Amino acid sequence: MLLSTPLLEIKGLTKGFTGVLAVDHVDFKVGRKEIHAIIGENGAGKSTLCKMITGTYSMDDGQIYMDGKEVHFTGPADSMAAGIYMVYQERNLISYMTGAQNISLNAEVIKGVVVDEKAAMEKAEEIKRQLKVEIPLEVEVEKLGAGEQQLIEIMRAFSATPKLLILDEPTASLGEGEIEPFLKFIKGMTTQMDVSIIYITHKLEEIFQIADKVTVLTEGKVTMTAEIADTSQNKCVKAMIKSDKMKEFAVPVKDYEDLENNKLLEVKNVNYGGKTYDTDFYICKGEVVGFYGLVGSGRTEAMETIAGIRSSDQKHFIFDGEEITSGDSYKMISKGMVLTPELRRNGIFPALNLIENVCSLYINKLATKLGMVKKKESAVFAKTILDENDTKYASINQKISDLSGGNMQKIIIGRSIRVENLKLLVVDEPTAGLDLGAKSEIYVKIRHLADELGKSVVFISSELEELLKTCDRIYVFYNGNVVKELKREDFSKEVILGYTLGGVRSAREAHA
Amino acid sequence: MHKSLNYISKYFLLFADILLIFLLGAFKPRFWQMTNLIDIAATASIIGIMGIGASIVMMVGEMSFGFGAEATLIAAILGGILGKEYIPIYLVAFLIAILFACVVGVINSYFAVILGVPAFIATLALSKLWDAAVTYVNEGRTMYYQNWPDAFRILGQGYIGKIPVSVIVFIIVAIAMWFLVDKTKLGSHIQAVGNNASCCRQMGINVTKIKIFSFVLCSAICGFSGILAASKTGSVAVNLGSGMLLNAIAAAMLSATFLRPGRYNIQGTVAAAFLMAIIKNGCTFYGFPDAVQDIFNGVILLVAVSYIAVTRKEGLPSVKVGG
Repeated sequence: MLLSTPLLEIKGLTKGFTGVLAVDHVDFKVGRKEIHAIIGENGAGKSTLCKMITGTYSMDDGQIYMDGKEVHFTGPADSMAAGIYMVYQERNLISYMTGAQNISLNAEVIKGVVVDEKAAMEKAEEIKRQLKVEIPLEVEVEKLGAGEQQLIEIMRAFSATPKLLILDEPTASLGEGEIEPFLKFIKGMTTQMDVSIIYITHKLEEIFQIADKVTVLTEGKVTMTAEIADTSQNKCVKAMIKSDKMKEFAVPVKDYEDLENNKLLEVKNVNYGGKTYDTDFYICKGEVVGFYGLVGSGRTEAMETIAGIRSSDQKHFIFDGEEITSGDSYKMISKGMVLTPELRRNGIFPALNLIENVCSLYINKLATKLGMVKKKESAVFAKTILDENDTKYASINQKISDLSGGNMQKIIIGRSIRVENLKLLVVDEPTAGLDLGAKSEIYVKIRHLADELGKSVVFISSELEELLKTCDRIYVFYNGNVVKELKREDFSKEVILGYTLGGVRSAREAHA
Repeated sequence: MHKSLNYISKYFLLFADILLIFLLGAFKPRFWQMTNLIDIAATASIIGIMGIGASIVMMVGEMSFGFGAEATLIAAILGGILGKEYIPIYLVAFLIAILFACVVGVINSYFAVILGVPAFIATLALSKLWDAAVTYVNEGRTMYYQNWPDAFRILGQGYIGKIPVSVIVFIIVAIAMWFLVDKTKLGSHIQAVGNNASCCRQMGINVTKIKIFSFVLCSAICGFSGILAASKTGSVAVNLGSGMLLNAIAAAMLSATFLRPGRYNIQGTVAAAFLMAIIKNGCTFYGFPDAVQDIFNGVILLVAVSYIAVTRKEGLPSVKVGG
């Protein structure tokens, strides 16, 4: 076995799903003790590629070579035996088992016919020493944090002798302070042990810290492979995104005095979960207002209460000049307020097709007087909305769950903005998990609604950057209350982050 | 949760057993007589063995409503081949009946695991076929043959010293299954599959095989519980097993409140079987109408599953809570 033979070499790997090539004739090599980053946007085919390497997916075409010999894996068990181990983005652990038991899962030491728990613990301790990590091994993994659980999964690879570790977005579940040490740990692993790593990510900063090589995937094809020293973040971004996919937009300068004469929604406080919160805010006609705050800061809860989705002991706000004290989401939709939910899965009917998903908001309009659904009209209506929003789909009769997140989001927003007499659209985390191109399309849509159609939009997000880019005003939430209002000309990242973390007392004191 | 409270909830079934025996005896001390307590144990053994079968299938994350019909079918097969003297040797006939039970398990798993029909529907449908087969062979009557060998009655009516054979058999089955589930690799994998099947697949565990094994083992045990019940009554009634179905499911469900909250376990199934046997015996002893017993059983099952639903966000392996 020559050292110059790459550990893993794949040639012409191809895989299609329902007519679309997810991975399209991909070639690449992973050398020994190398960290090879694979980057690409969501849906670029990174995970599909790796699942073919582990044998989880069968390939339509292509060859895989380990140590120069062609291999055919029919499942993860085969690839594991060959020394390939993949750590998925979602945790793959038995929740009630301890760390040590999880590490030994299906590699248990048997004494007679009994599982030897002591040997499992010793083995886990040994791996812990080898990897120089600190982690409790005798605790049920459900009691560990996300980062620790991930570490257990990586340790599990070392219950055998792994040659190649595939890490799928490993830092996605880590908190701010955990990422740095984790990257060091990964880097240390390849310098101290004979192991190579395929590192899937879409965070460019990370690969420049640890990777030796980078391969860029775009729509299933390799658009760039380079030594990390020979490339730059800019070059990677260019390879990742086709320029025509990024949509540009501008936010027009608004006359706030003029706007304030046309208030659509005025709220003093909201009540939910038995408590009343101080949420002094208003939304004017034709403006995009951002709601920023940490998860649980009340930005979602406030709007869900107003939209009638969340139950409230007492309600009082003004919508379109009318005092509203009660009513569920159905009533608010008929008044022209639509909310698209924070969790995309709450906005779709996964088992239903595109027609049914689009038409769900219009069931009354698309039914006969006897309550029978008009099939033809529904299909025509659905198709109009799909096309208006540039949705990519194979057939109008396919299940919505087969679409990518970006396309689902286009349908959710697309059907919402067609609601008759729409006045206020509330979008909650609309860009979560979308790639840059798809995100930009959502921003353009939001601005179009406000600027050309004169509708109002509440844009709730955890990504401050996108709010700064698209909104006319921003409200900052903290502990359920509105603590700060900023107009576009006063936008400042520092100020907003300060209020987000509760740096300043309450809205009224701050105003005074 | 407070530590002592945690302790109480973990051993609640056991406390309930003891408390009920104490209370029922407090008003009528004859309840405490050895013969009555032994009778409770004998009742618990039949419910408990079927409950253990049920727990095995529930541990892998599946649900079956076929336990009862399978028990009746297997008892009828044994009774039939012995009565019609196809095979006069009890042990051979017994093994053939259990083999049939295994075949039933394979059929269950064909639909539930290979085809992917939701198991509780597949087993419910199949149970109608087993019921029909028994009704057809018995011509709708309770099966009874004069020429059944004495061995037919030993399991349910025999004694070793003062202890009923059924109780001894129950102890053996419970210990064997506890050992399998808690001590062996196979048992550990059975529980792991119920917790996270996709993780098991990633780790190279053959989830399909584990599930099929569980269905077969479950049917064999349930068939055995049917033989035991038939032996006790000395006949095979058409509703022999279906009367035990809910108790068995309840025993398995209740086990998930015991010892390891959120996970079915053999120890808990045994404790729960005793709870139901005590209620059954107590109701008879005090002359309560049958409805009272049903109310007790229903309420206990509701309280148990509600407790799990409230304390365990992810639900149980075979009964997922929420979406």
